[in-house]
Amino acid sequence: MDTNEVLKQVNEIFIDVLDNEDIILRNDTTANDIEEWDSLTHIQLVVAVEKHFKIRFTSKEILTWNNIGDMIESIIQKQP
Amino acid sequence: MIFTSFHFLLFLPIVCLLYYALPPKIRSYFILIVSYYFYLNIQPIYALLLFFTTITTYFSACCINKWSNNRKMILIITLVLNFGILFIFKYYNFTVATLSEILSYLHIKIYFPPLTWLLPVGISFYTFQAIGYILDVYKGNIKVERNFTIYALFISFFPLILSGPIERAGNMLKQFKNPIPFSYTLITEGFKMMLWGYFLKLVVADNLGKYLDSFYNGGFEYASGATTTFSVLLYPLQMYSDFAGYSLIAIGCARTLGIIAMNNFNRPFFSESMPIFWRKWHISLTSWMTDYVFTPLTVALRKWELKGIALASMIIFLLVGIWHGASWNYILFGAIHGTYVGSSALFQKKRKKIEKSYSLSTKRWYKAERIISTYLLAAFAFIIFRTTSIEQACKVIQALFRPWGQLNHGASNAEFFVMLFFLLFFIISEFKANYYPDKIQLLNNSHFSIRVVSYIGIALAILLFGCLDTNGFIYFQF
Repeated sequence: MDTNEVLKQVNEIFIDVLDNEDIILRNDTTANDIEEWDSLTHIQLVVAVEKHFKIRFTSKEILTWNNIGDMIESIIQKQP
Repeated sequence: MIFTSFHFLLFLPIVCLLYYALPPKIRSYFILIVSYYFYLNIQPIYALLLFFTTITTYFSACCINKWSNNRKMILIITLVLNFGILFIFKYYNFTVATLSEILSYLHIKIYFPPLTWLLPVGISFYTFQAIGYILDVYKGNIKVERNFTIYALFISFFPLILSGPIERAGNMLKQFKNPIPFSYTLITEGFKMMLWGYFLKLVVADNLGKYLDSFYNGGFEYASGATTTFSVLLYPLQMYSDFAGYSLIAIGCARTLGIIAMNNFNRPFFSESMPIFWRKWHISLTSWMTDYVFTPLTVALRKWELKGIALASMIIFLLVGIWHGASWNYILFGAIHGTYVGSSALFQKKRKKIEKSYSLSTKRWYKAERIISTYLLAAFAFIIFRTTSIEQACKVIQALFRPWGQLNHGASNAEFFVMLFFLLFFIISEFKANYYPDKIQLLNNSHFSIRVVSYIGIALAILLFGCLDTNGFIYFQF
């Protein structure tokens, strides 16, 4: 799966979890860019991504993400 | 020397003048000396504690950076040392009193001598700031600061030392390292913030305080339902104008020296839910708790999904409650907010579904209802915060159900109307700033004459109606 495909699928997850159809993610998108993305919804997004891609991030990975690009990179690294 | 003292009004302009007159290279030394002078003026002996926190966290950060094998151990020792000091001064008496009580139920009698030391001013604020730095270095979020003067200044910077905002090393160290040249805009911005902060504190908060103190210092025993309801509804506004006023003076003061500190409040009483309220209330503390405790906790508890978030919310708000002080009231205050935020997370999906099916989120009445409900929930929790025991809090809650009766304000009519007038002015200005930020500017009006009239008007309001014999800020006790 390439970066664009992962980004597209993550975008769908964000739309579903945050219940906002207008979300368009980019690699440099951060929580400051999306109103509904706060400390409470952040972990719900992580769980939804883990379930969707059938992967498990380490706590260290999650805590070092600075933007969507970092999350996408972690997903790609875990792909078989 | 506190912000509302005459001494400080002389101190700040002199410090500003000398600061900009000195070469940029030595400004950090100058402000460090000034900061210690400021703190020594309040509690001379406790400056040693401030220095101890500074020196332990400074050297620990250097060691964490140097010895990668023992970094976890160094971090733990530093946390134990600094939280240990905080515990002894703030929580020891409460812990041993509770322990004695539990042991007496088991018929075991052990005498723990209480400590009679005063609480060092600002200890909760600067300890959290120093621990935030050490955690940032440990996690690799920032580079270790080798310049001791710059680091000591970050911990002791006089505008923020007494009650925050609890700043982050990432924002402050670079500003202290590279002082900006004299900026007329920053200085005027700073003085405007301070003027508005003094107005909020001395005119709005302290006039409200005169009325509310008589209610909470025993008045609730015989107050009517109307008086109790009125007092309970007003207290959040006193608390807000007091602490937001203090924060504006602190941030404004930092700005006159060219330092931009983080915002501490963002009109929290226009929040539509409790989680939003906490993103706008005492932002420096809640963001600290979110970054260093809540997020790692939710990550660790994520297999429990929403229940994990609810549990983490409860833990975090218990900590927020305890941070304010050692009493069952603060613990209960935290537990109530933990319940508010945790249940908000649990029912968020259902609420959103209902909102969507009835298109509620676009309706003004629905937004207004949510803002009012959030305010009422906050006001209820503030009863516990303001009272000195759970028994007293229960009495105030019971008094809410007394016959409505007359509104007895325990002050002269003139004083009462002055309080109401400035309270209304404050609420309108908050409403305007929230919904119409660009309309009717006073302090920032583009016309010079309107700006000057506004400065004079606010200064006159402070001189004529402000409580100039104020005893300090509510948050100094934390």
